[in-house]
Amino acid sequence: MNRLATDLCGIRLESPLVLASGIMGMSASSMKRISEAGAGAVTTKSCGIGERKGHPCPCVIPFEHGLLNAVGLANPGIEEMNREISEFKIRVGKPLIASIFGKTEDGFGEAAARISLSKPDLIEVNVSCPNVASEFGLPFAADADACGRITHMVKERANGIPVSMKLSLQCPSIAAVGRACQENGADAITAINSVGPGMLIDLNVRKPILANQVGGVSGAAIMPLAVRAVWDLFRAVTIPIIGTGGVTRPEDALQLILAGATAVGIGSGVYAYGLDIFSATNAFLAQWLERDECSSLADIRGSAHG
Amino acid sequence: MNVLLWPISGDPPMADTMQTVRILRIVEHGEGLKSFWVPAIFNIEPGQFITLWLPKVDEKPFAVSGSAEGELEITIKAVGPFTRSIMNCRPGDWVGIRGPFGKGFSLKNGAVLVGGGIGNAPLKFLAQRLSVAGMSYSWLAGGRSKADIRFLRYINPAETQNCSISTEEFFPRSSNNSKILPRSGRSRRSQESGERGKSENSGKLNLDESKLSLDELKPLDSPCSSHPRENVIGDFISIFESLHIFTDDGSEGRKGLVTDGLAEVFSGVFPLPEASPGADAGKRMDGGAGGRGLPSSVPTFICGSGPEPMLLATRQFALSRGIPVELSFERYMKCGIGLCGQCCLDGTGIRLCVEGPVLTEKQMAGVTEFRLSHRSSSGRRAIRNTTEAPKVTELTERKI
Repeated sequence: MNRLATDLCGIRLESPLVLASGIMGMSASSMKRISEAGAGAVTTKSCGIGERKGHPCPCVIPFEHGLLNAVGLANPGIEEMNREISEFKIRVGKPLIASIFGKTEDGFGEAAARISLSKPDLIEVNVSCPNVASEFGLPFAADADACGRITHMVKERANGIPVSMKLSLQCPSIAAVGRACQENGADAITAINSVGPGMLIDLNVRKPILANQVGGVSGAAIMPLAVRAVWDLFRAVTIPIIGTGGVTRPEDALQLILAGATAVGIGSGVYAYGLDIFSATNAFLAQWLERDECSSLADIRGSAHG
Repeated sequence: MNVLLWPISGDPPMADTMQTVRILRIVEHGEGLKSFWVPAIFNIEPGQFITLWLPKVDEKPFAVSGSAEGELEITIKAVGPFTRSIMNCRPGDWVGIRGPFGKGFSLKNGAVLVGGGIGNAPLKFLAQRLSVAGMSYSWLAGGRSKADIRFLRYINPAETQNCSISTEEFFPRSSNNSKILPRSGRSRRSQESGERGKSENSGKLNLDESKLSLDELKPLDSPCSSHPRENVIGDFISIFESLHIFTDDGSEGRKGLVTDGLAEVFSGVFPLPEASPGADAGKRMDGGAGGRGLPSSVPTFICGSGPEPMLLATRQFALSRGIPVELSFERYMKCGIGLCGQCCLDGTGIRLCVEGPVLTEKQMAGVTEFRLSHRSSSGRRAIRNTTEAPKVTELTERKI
């Protein structure tokens, strides 16, 4: 019996672990590789209606406690991504989550309609990218009303595909934003996006290191923030939560599940731990469930609240 | 369950983080072709790569083309905005550096190095390491014309100034095309220094002193100079002995394609020079699979770096003869640490920046994109070659 089997919006995952958006989700082949490494599902890089080159490099910089990134929503455009999604669906039997972004509220709806053509299992709506503020303005995720409207628009045009809203911690209340999403029909919440933006400055050239100057903080540094965000959301909404943020060790994934996550996104952990993080975390979760005589993850989900 | 630390929190150097260093010296090999010497703040193997960052310009991946005690050489050809911009740098300027990234070449006896143009840069470093390890090898260096491979003339400018090397055979000297840019604020190196290796070869020194007068170039702190013998000039002599030049226009070496030379090496037309006597390969190297025990003049193994058509021709040759091969590929890279997915190869999903850039035949076997255009910074292929690209409908029938 697979104790790790998880139901996410009616999608059966062999493992609760999901490749988070932005990490290796560029092509069918790279996502296939992550699937084989033990992920229950994979998420594509966020894509929009048009091709985007993203920010110049350096765009991903490790520091002592995490990563700072300003990739800048680089993507080949939804049309191209749909080819990769279709190829993945044919080659790999596992669920795929397509991440989309839009510049405007209408843009999200249009992106959802287009991405639905390749029939991803779930559409994740990135309303929370922290490193495109100079172009896009403040992320929609900071505004519960805007998130509600986008949820509504995406749901209308997603051709029946379940929708997860990817939220940011940087708002007055992530619980309130989550509730607005649920009230407008969201099927799930993904939380959290990278935090910030943050900045690192080189001492010798006395300049910010990232070409974009600022970028989202991810990795070990933000793990406690993600656990708290999932905790807050679990109390506020009844829809499933894909807990994402700073999982760099198997134990971190379990913390998110105990806080209430149905699935766990892993991104920076691929760097911190290597691709083995998926299989190692699966093994850890299975052992832990066996030790505590739990038959499934559902037995322990959110049990930290008790 | 083992507890894993964030990987860079351990011992220095925190190589993936951005560190800035001063350019120690710049060797100009001609228009738009320069070698930049920087402090070696980490150990690196031939074929691995680093990234260089010019603030407010960009960050790009580069091969290391050589090393001296505590220093690394990066040879760069001006082809795009970044490489054109770095041509304006002066010694003493700050440059960001991260690395080492990826997997490099195996160090094995009997290697045949095949390089095209600026792709010869990592092979120069490989040749240096092979020489240091006392291994025999042959190096087929190709270029469009003489100017393309002029940088091979300087194996180690820091060390050649007072030493005698006969380079005439492979490197007819040109008088004005190469010059050392002085590093500002440093005194000139005295002629008395650098005595090593002089005695045996004295009398053969033909290098133009005005061309090679170097500054006093003390390396900065060099915590990880694990290859002190790389300063011994004898190592570089064996590089010259092993080098065969091919140019498209015949302006240097032989006229023709470098891949033409492959068959000749493997049929004994170009014998591999004997490994240098007294080499300490046995002490220092574990030895490759094809390594010691075989006569040193037998070629057993191919290492390639250069334009993709050259690499694919080399691969074809190796496959047809059953020769092990390692080839260094290039793709658009952003993060260098296996996260952004930009350099993942279609077919297998290999991350070129982590599992490459040097690929073995086993790694190349499932790759389906070798004849396609590369992904751009957005991840889109410039042109889909529909005759070569697998159609989605065909994929079900292919063994995946």
